[in-house]
Amino acid sequence: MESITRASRVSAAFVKIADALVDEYDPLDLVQTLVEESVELLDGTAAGLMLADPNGVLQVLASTSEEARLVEVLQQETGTGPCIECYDAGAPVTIRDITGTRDRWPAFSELAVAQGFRSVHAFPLRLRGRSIGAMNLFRVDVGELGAEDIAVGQALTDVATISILQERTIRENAVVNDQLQRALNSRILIEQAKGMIAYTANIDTAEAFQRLRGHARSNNTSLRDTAQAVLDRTLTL
Amino acid sequence: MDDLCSALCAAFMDALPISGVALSAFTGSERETTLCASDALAARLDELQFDLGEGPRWEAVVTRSPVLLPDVRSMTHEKWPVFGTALAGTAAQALFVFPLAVGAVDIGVVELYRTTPGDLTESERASARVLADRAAWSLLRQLLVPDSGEDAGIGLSASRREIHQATGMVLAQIGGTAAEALLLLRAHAFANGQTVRETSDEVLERRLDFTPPPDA
Repeated sequence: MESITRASRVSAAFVKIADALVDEYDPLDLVQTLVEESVELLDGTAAGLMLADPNGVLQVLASTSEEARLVEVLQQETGTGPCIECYDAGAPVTIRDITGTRDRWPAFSELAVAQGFRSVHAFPLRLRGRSIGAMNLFRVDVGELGAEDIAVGQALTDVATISILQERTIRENAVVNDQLQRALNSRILIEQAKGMIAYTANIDTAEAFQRLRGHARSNNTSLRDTAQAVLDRTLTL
Repeated sequence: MDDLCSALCAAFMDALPISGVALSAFTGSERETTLCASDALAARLDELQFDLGEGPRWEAVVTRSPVLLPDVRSMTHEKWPVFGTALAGTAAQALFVFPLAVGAVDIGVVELYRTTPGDLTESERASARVLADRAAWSLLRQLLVPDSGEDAGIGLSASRREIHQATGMVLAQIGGTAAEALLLLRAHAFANGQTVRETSDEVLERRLDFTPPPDA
């Protein structure tokens, strides 16, 4: 019975995503949905998606929690860790027990274990043999993902790649780089707007993000445009 | 700084079919400076627009979008009539201006000119945007961490989201522009022997507030 429930959950998630991939979809909101769905479907505790910036350094584009500590773990990985290894190799990386990586990635393993994470699974964002980033899924249990889970995780990650690179027929590297940078630049606008909202409304940055997303969704605008309006002071949230 | 700017200009010259390039950054002082130019005409085109207070460079800054003039002699220059006339008297036949911005922080502009008319291809435009973005990041990093050429470690990385969130908070406190907010963070950090990241954390924890006193 459980597998039926599970299959229907997976298909429901993809129907929801396909539904979101309409003409004027917002790639950042969609990527946010994807990391949230990956946690739901793969029994994770947290997930984050990172894109390579022009210097090849991974930057967080979306994470399930806005909590600074999760982002800290992800960003720690800009130096070394399973996510960057996954990005470099363009292949999935599974760490069944993070405590076993103390020698390999001391800073990463310490931060991750302090968060209660015990295993991590990284899926590459791939575009015709080129790696553009990686998605990290953290779980509280030690262990590997099953073959089916890996397939689901990679499929969600592939959808993320497609949604970030909006032109389906991209052949030019420059156009790909341009779109990656636009996504990362949008994220910076969002961070700046979060700070502005948090200060003005006297709330934390996580709640500021929820307000931003809620407003974008109910007004059918993108997170980027909403953040820009906040920064231009034409919108107060 | 000069080395960085020359390298950034060289990158545009290498990658694109252009005759010259000028890179101009906002330094936070009242008068910005042209950081570098590949030749005298490139520098002059930037200075002209700056002195006249009109021209595509200003449009690129305000709209945060590229302004592309593929054939400057056959077009009317309604938005910048004086500069348009001056431009027609130079050897430049095409002018392409790309804004340098990181989020809402305006860093400057890059101006590319060519002595033959014609549009940039889609791929060339994308390349120019990528180079402009890279230049914006490099200049921002230089602004925040002037003593180290590269990100010298996690604590200094200009890409940390705390710095951007704190910029937003300071923006709410002082009004003005995001660039001013970021420069204020930087100034406070330097004056107190902190990294910009440490100052940003104080702002986020609400231990530091730049709101001007009521009667100041």
